[in-house]
Amino acid sequence: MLLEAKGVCKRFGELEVLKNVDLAVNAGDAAVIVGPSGAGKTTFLRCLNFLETADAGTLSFEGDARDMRSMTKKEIRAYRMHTAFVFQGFNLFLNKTALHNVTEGLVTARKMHKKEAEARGMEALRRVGLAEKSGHYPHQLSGGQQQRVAIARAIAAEPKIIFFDEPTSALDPELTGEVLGVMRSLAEDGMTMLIVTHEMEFARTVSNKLIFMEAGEVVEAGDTAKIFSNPEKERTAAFLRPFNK
Amino acid sequence: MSNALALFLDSFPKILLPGLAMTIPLTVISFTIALGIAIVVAMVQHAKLPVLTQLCRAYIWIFRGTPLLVQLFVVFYGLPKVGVLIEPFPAAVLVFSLNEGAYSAETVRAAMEAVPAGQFEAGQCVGMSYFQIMRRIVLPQAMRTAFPPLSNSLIAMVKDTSLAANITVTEMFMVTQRIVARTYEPLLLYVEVGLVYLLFSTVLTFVQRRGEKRLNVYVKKEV
Repeated sequence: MLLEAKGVCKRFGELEVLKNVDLAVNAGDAAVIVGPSGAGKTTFLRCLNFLETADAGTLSFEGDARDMRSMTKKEIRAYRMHTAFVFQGFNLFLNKTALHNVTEGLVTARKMHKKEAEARGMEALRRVGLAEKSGHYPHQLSGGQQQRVAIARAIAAEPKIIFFDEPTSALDPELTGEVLGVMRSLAEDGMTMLIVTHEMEFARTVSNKLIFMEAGEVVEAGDTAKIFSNPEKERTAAFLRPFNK
Repeated sequence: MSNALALFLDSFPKILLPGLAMTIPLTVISFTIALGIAIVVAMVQHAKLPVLTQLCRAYIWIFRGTPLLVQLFVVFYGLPKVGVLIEPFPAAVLVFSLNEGAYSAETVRAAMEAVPAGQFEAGQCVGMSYFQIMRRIVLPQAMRTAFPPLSNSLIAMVKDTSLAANITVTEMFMVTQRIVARTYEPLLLYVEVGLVYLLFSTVLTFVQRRGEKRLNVYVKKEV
C-alpha cells in the first residue's frame, strides 16, 4: 500500500464536508474519485496534500502512519517531496516561463543544480509535448498547454503519487482531450495517480480503481470495471447509469 | 528683463548643485530604506505573525497619522531634549524612511494580497518553504503590481525633501531661500526651483515608464 487514509473528517463551520472518509491507493494505481458536485472530493484531495488541515484522520504513506492534525510543517514538506498536485486552475507561476515553472521546485526545494534541473525540465516538457514552448510565459499559452506544463512540473519531481484536482474542468472540450491524453499515457507508464474528475468516460477507460463519494462520504469503492458493470449500491448505479452504454 | 535672465542663469547651477548633491541622495537613500521597511512590515502582516503584526499596525498608524513636518521637528529639535542628538542629514533620512515606509508598507501589502492564493499553494505543492515562495513567487509578482504606486511615492518624496530645509539640511529649497534673501527676487527664484523639481520628476516619470515595460513581460496585455 502506497497511501492509506483513514477516518478523514473536515468541517467548514456548520458544514460537515468530510465524514470519516477512507481511501487506499497502491503503487501503480490510477484511482479516480467521482461523485456529484459538493460531495467533498476536492476537499478530500486537498486534505491529502495538507492544503487543508483535516479535523481528524490518519494518513499512512509507505507504511508510515501519522495523525493528520499533528504533522509538523517540516514533516509536511518532507511528505510533499514525494507527492505532486495538479490544480483545476493550473496555478502556474505567472512570473516564470514554462521551463522555469518546471525547474523552480527542483532548484529551490530539492537543491538541484540549475543545469541538471533544466535538462530534466526539458525532458518533462517533451513528455507532455511542449518542449518548443519552454520559453513561453503562462499568459502566452492556452489553457490546455498550461495544464500540460503543470503536469510536466508534477512529473519532473519524480513523485510517488500525483494528485489531480479536476484537471480538465476549466478547459473547453477541445482542450480537454490533450490533457486527458497526457494523463492516459502517464497511467500506461504506471504512474500512481489519484484523480478527482467529472470525465466519466476517462474514468471508465483509464482508472483501475474507483471511489464514488456523495455528501462527504464514500458510497462505494473498488475495481472500476466491476463498479461500472455491477455496482453494489443503488445510489452508485443511479449515478453511473448515464455513462454505462 | 535682461537682469532677470542673468539672475536666472546665474542661480541655476547654484540651485541645481545642492539638488544633485543633497536632494537626490536624500531621496534615494531614504526611499531605499523605506522600501526595505515596507517589505518587512508587509510580510509580517501577510504572515499574520502575532504581536509583531500589532506593532506594525501601530507604526503605520503613528507615521501616517502625523504630519511629516512635525515628525522632522520631533526628531531634530525634540529629541536633543532627552539627549539624542542627530545631525540634520541623518535625521532627515530617518524621518523620511520611517514616514515613507509606513505608506509603502500598505502599498506592498495590498499588492501581496492581490497575488492569487493558488500561486502560494502551487509553491507549497512543489515542496518550497514559506520564504522561498515569498522571495521567488509572491514578492516578484507583488512588486510588479506595486511598481506604479511606489513610483508615485518616490516622486512625492523628491518634492517632500524640501521640508528638510526646516531642519537645516542645505538642500535645494534652503539654498533658494538664501538666494532670495540676498536678491529679493522671490517670484523668479521660487519658480526656478520649482522647475528643477519638475525636471527631477520628469526624469523619474520617464524611468518609471521604462521600468514598467520591463516588468510587464509576464503580464497579459489587455486587448
